Amino acid sequence: MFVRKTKWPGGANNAVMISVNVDAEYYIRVFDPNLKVDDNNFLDMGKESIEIGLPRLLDILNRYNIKATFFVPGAIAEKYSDALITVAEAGHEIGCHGYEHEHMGALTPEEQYRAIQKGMEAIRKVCGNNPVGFRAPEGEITIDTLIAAKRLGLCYSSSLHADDVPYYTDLGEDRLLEIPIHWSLYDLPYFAFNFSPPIPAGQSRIACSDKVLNNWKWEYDGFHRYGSCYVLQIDPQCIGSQGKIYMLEGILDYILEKGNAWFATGYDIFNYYEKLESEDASAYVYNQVLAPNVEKR
Amino acid sequence: MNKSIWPNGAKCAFSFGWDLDGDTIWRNKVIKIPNGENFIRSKSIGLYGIMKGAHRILDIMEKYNLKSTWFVPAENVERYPELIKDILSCGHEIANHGLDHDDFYGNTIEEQLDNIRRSQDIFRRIVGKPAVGFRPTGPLLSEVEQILFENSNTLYYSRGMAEEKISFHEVNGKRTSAVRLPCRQELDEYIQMVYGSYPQVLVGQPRIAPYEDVLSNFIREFEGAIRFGSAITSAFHPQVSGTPGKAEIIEKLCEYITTNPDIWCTTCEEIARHWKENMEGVSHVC
Repeated sequence: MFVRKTKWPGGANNAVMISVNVDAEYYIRVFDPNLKVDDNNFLDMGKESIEIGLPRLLDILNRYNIKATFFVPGAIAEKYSDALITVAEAGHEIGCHGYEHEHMGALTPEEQYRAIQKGMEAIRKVCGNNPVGFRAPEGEITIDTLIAAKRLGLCYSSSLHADDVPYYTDLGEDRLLEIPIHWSLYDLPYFAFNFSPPIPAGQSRIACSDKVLNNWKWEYDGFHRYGSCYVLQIDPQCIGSQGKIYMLEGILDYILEKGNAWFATGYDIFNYYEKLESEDASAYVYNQVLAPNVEKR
Repeated sequence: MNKSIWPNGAKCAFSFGWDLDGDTIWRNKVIKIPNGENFIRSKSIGLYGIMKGAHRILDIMEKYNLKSTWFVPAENVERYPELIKDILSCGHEIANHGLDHDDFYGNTIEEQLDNIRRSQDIFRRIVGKPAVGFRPTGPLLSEVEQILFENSNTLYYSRGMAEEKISFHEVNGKRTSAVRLPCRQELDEYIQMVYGSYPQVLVGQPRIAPYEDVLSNFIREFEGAIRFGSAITSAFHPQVSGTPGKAEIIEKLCEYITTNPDIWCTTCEEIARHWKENMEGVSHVC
């Protein structure tokens, strides 16, 4: 075998991080990072996601006693501050997701720095604490995005896709822990739909919920087999809707049935990796070498 | 139905074709966007194949004792010689998948030939010999095809198209000595499951297919190949199939293949040699 299993706290078989992207009206920028969001339709959907989807989601997390990681654009934290305080008071982690869900790749390094800074300040103002986690708003990013996050005191990023266990991105003089994500484990790309502007761009049919849940289960089978770090991304306006909330219960039941998973927030994972002294925690030069847990022959 | 020409009474021949594209396809896309040369996010989807996916696939191939063919852009042969060594040491074949996965090979015959020559030089240097199999990443001029496929070092040609029949490749109606080994869209998992919202991959942002449907379509394709005695190969990608959930699809496919005596599973090179020798009336020694 080339690929070794990663070790997790307490002898757990694999890690599970439930992450919630509270994008509200900015969800359309997941599909086109340059879109404007001031359309009433999008604003109403954003409002409903906070008023209906979010409480539903919180109820279930509470029932399963799971702490999740919520990534929130600063402008949404300010606009829906009461809702965000409820999330923080329930013990969930609140992470930074830009200020207005900016398209980082289209900004200068200084503009990126200021957007992340503004997003962090909004969360601190509402929740009282600085966020420690960063998920870059969907759209492209550059290495300067991660350098800015690190310089602003963020501990980890959960934005890239190059592995299925955490790894460090080399930032030159520094490094940043990456908790990688995968599009197949995100609800919006399967379900979001809008006529004008077209979302998704080719207006493909809305997927079958049961089969999407099955994809998440197939993925879990794999993450369980390989002992990897399963990061689910959900949005209250998608998974929180009346016809889809069962999917969250379905995947959580499936994970619990398989047993021996370590449910963790992004900050839990960061703290675990900081204490690791094994080769799993070695930095690698971005895009140059193999994953740390691939054995040499 | 005609008597099978495949070894040990198998009714069809199959080779896993692993396209080790890494971040080249993503790089070639973002490079066209302002500031795109600095983008790192969509490229990281492709890098998964290099960092983790390829070795996961090697582990699965080893578990089921299967040999396969890896179509690698020469740029990646040069960038990741250690990985290439691991693939070769497991007994797999490395074949030519262009220079840098660009679909533009050049305007003139000389430019296109030079592009191919440069990729084969890298293969010679790192792999130790030029590739005998080609899966071009873009269209070639017919004069270039003529020269490439009449070259005695070229054994087979396996492009991603809809064609079904193994045959001697023809250029302008004239038969060449290269074997055309079909690689159909039905056995390309990238088309079914890759996703990136920006830049759009695939264009139009179609939904990721249900994995159960993907596996079911793969099996139907095998059933057809068995029924009609075909030779088939896949365009699978470590950056897609190497991720945990899609690797489950590959596991299940390997179980199907290794428990089905109707399928001869080997490298593209073996299939092409066997078929060619059979056509030329030379008995194949297994």
